[in-house]
Formats: sequence, C-alpha cells, structure tokens
Amino acid sequence: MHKILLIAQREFLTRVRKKSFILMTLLSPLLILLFYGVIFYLNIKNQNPDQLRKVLVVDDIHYFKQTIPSEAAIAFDFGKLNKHQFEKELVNEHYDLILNVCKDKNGKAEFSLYSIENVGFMLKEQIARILSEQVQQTTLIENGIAPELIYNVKQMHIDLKSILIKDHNATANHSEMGALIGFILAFVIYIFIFLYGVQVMRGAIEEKSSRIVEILVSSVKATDLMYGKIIGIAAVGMTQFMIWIILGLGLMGPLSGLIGQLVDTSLTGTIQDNAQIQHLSQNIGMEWLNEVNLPLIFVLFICYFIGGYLFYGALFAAVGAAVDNDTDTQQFMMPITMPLVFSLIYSQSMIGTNPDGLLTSFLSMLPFTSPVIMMVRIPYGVPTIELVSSLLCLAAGFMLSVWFASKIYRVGLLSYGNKLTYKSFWKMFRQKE
Amino acid sequence: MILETRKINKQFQSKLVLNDINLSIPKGSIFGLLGPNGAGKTTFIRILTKIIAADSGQVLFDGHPLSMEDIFKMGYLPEERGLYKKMGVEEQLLFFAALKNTPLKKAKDSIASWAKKFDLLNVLHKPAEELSKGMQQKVQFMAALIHEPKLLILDEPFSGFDPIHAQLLLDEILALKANGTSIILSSHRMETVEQLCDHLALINKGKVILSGELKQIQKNHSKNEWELEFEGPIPQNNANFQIHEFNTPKTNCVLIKPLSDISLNQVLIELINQGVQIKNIKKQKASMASIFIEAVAENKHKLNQHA
Repeated sequence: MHKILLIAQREFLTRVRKKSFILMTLLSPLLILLFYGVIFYLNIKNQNPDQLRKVLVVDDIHYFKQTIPSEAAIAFDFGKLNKHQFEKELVNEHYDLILNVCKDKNGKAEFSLYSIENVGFMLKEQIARILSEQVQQTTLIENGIAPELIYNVKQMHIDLKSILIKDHNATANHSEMGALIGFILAFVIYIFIFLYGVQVMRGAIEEKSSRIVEILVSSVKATDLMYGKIIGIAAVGMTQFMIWIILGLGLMGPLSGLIGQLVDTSLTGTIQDNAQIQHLSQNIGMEWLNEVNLPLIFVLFICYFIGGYLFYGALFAAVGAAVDNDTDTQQFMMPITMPLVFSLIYSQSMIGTNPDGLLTSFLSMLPFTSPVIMMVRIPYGVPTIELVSSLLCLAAGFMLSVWFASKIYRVGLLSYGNKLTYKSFWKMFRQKE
Repeated sequence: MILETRKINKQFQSKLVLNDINLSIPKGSIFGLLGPNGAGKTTFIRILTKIIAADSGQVLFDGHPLSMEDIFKMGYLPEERGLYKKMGVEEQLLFFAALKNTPLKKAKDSIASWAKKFDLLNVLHKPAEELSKGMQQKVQFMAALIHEPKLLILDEPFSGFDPIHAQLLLDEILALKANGTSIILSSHRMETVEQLCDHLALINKGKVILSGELKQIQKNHSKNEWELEFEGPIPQNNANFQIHEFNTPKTNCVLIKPLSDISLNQVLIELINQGVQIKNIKKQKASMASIFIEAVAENKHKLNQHA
C-alpha cells in the first residue's frame, strides 16, 4: 500500500506541476464559458436581428385578402411585378425577399420565396408561420368568428405536470430538469473517463518507451505500479474538478448578474407580454429542487464516477502496457471507447423518449455502459433493486477489469518489439508470472 | 554466499528459457554471468530481482529464501534502462530510493556524494531530458546505488558507454567491490568479464555450461601453447613442435604448439639450435572467448551423443 501511494504521489505531483495542467485548468472553464457565451449571443441576436427584412409580396392570384401584419424583423409590402423583374428588384436592394403566390398545375396556390442570397432555415420557417397564421385567421374571420375570440383562443396555454404513481404515492415529476442534470453528470463521467483513462494509458506507454519500467518493477510489483498510476491520475482529475467547482462558485455571483442584465435587455425587446416572462421564469424556477433527490443523485454520481473510471482506467492501462508506442494504440482503443461513445449517444436519445425499456435495463447493468446510462436515468427514478444490482455489476466489472489488466500489465511492460494482435493479449493474460 | 540458486527453471510458452540453474555467488566479489544474446541471462536476473517468478527452484539470499525485504538490499541496473524525461534528476533519484524504502536523509546524502563523484552536482535540478547521454547513464547507475545495496546487479552495464565513461564506471565497480559490495555482472563481452570478474558462469541456451573461479577456469583450459618473442631467424616447424602465427600487435612474435609430452626445455633447445634469439616466452592464457566457444561446442557434442 505504501508503494502504491508513492507511485500515486509521483503521478499526481509531476502532472499537477506541469504548466499545461495549470493552463488547461484555468483556461478550459473560460473556453467553455466563451463557447456558451457565443451560442447565447447568437441566439439572442437571432431573435433580435439588427436588420429588418423587407418582403415584397407579389400576389398574382389575390390569395391574401388582407395585408399581412409585419413582425419585429420582417415587414411585408404588397406590389405588382413581373417575374423577370424580380432579380433587378432584389439586386437594387429595394427588397430582401420576394414572395410570389401563383397557381400550380392543379389550380392550387403555390408559394415561392425569391432571393439572391441563401435564406436561412429559421427565417424561412418564420415567414411560413406568419403566412399560415394569417391564412388561418382570415379563414376563421370569414366564417364569422369574432377577431377578439381568435385573440383570446391564441392566448390559451396549458401547463402539463407529470405525476408518477408508484407504491400508492403520487409524486410530481420534473423530468425535464432532472433529465438535464442527469445528462450533464453523465457527460462529466464520460469526459473524465476519456481524458484520464487515456492519461493512464499514456503514462504506461511513457514508462515503457523510456525504458524506466524495469528499474521500477525491480522495487515495486507491476500491479502496484498500475494501481498507483490509476489512483494518482484520478487524484489529478479530482483536483481539476475541485478547482473548477470553486472557480464556478466564485464566478457564479458576478456572472449571473451579467447574464441577468443581458437577458433583461434582450427579452424586453421581443417579448412584450409579461405573462410570457413570468411563465418562463416559473419553468426554470427552483420548484424542481424539492422534487429531484439531489443528495441521492450526488452519491450515485460519485459511485458511478469512480466505478466507471476504475473499470475503464484499468483497460486503458492494459493497452498502454501492451503496446510499444502511441501509434499502436488506435486499434486496441477502439473496442474500449466504442461502448463509451455508444452509451453517450444512446443516453442522448433517451432524453425526451421513454427512458425505461429492455435495452436500457440491460445497458444499465453492463459495466461498459452503466456509468453513463444510469446517470441519465437516475433523475427519472430507478427502482432500488435495479440500482443496487447495477452498482454490484459495476463493482464486479472493475474488479474483473483490474484483474485482467494487472495480468496484461505485468507481462506487457517487459515485452518489447512484438507484433501485437488481440491474440497476444490473450497470451499475455494466460502467461504465468 | 550472498546468493545461491537451486534448480531454477523457467518456461515461456513452449520454450524452456532456464534449465536447472544452480549457481553460488560469493560475497564481496564480482560474479560474471556470460552468455550470448538470448541465453537467458536477463530472465535469470529478473528472477533474482523477483520481477518474474521461476516455474520451479529456489533462490537463497544470504542463506535464507529470498524475500521482498531482500530486494531492497539489491541494486539493479537493467540492460533496458531509462529515466523520466520531464522529471528532475534529484527528484527521480529520491523517488527510486523511496521505492527501496531508503530514509530521505540517507538518500539525499548518498545522492550528494555520488553526484560529486560523477560531476553531476549542477544538473541535479534539471529534468533528465536536458542531460547528455553520458550524464544520463551516470544517473541511471546512481539509481541502482543510492540505497547502498549489498548486492549490485549490472546487466550489460557498459552497453552504450563511450570509452571515457566506461573507464569511470569500471573504476567505480572495482571501488564498490573493495568496499565489500557483491556484484553480479552480466555481459556477452568476454573481455570485460576477464578484466573484472573473480567468478563466472557461462550460460548457453538456458543451461550453465561452465562455472567457477576465473583463474581456475583459465588454468584448466590453458593448453601447452607458448607465445614467443624472438630476433634473428624465424623459427621453423619441426618434429616436436609447430609454429603458428597469431593475432598480436607485437612483431616477431609467434605461437608455439609442442606436440604431446614435449617439454618446454626440449622446445627451447631446438629453437636455440635453429639460431633463434629468444627475447621472451610465456604460456598463453586461454581467452574467455575461446573457452566459451569451446564449451559451447563441447556441450553441443554432448547433447548430440545423448540424442
């Protein structure tokens, strides 16, 4: 144990003191912030484009009985124009777009949007929506429905609460927020396994290719070397996350103020209706906090986090010990990373669809996929029996993978220059000490 | 005896790498482990250092079965050796020492004194990758020594050393021996072994084919052959002896092989009769290389007879 700690300590200290570690730890939150900042900014900008799009409606068949009301960013004008004049009109920048309504072969109305630049998907959808609403409203009014009634009907909105009934207890279910938390945590596990699992592998390769390994194994058992490496690198990762959490909490105050301001100034422009803002803020309110079992989620997160990392870390270590250099790793990493990537993709598809099901249950048991899949499922509520058996499977899984890896590690570290195949892994595994 | 092995066997897949190795390594001496590449030397050493386990057989350290504690009394310089490139020299030496359970203070003192000897004091804080190859080799040698081992195992210690560093290393090995350290030196370079070792074992294809004290082995293998330095007429073959040229930097030097039971006196009388001026004559020592080749051939012959 003393040796394992020594190894872990060295792994930890040499990594944490590296400039790249300090730089990455400080920069990556900034990069992520910047990343989301840009997305956020673009979103707001999309809602409030600085420029007004002018659309000329050339209605050859008098389809629109009334004018079309202009919205914040789009203004409609009616006019008469020949088709061959369209281009000139657009080039002269009198209008950004020309909407032509004519009859198709079957005598039905056909709508075409002319432009000299590509029209974005969002803008096209927006115009289509405005036109549809206009047509619906006109039709309703023509059939004798009062305009006030139409307005009132449009304001009607139903908030749907989902309630789960289990064991005669009905509980409100804020699955949207839970799903989000679950997915974020699953993503954290995924990233951690990937980043630091690969570091375990690199570490083994480094010791092997720098030929230091035989000096090491003459004073410490190869398996202890592996444990020390896995633990030390995990500690590096934990430290990094701790720093991020502290930084995050520290920045939370000033940042939320800033975002609040941004949202205020941007929203007032678009959403005139106060009710809508209230509705929005209620949705992202703190109500869900009472319903989602945060402490449980946190404890399970730690369990799956550590279990998943140990499971995959050992496998990565085995690959690192077996190969001679980085370039050989690709083909052997594939089967390890595939289930991990698959579990993330699968969990994405799980959000919004039914999270229960036979395949999901199976993947929740499999140690390859359970850390990610289960994290997504937990906020929805998972039966205790399933949780416990999944954790037991994971524990058995990492004990198996550590055992398997330690056998490979012992033999692999001291063998150089062999052409490596999957069969040679088997041979290494079978070889006696 | 610092180390004894009894019937060590080791098999990799279907290949028998070590076959009943029985060796006794005396205290305070340099023991040469000789053999061509692939003879099983490194495997044998890995068993002595408990890096791998033997399939059968026993290793005794200082009279008792080898335990993990004994490993910390050994220093090992592997043939495949290296350093952590990005880690400071002193830091990694301290790490190696800690792995051998060496107290920090002792390790620091030891590093300081060795660094002084090897002229490394001003690079102790540099990362290893900034050191020249020769310096790195000295650091690797230090790594095997800082915990003051009772038994030092050197696997091909001179490989990759330039002549200056090789001489330095050679002097230090002899100094360590003088201080009572037992040393096992594995090599396929016979000259090195002849120069340094007191005892040796020849390993070929996993078997010890010859072992014992170097002087005794050389004596046993020495033949009735004489190196003659001369002036005047060139010695001629005759009924009692044959003259051979041999590889030597000296001029006017030949090898005389007397036919069976012809004494040196008779040879000298005949040479003088031939008018040869004898400047110097000495018995030719058997070189380890020739002993080795002979032993391997003999072993092969024996095996064939068995078959």
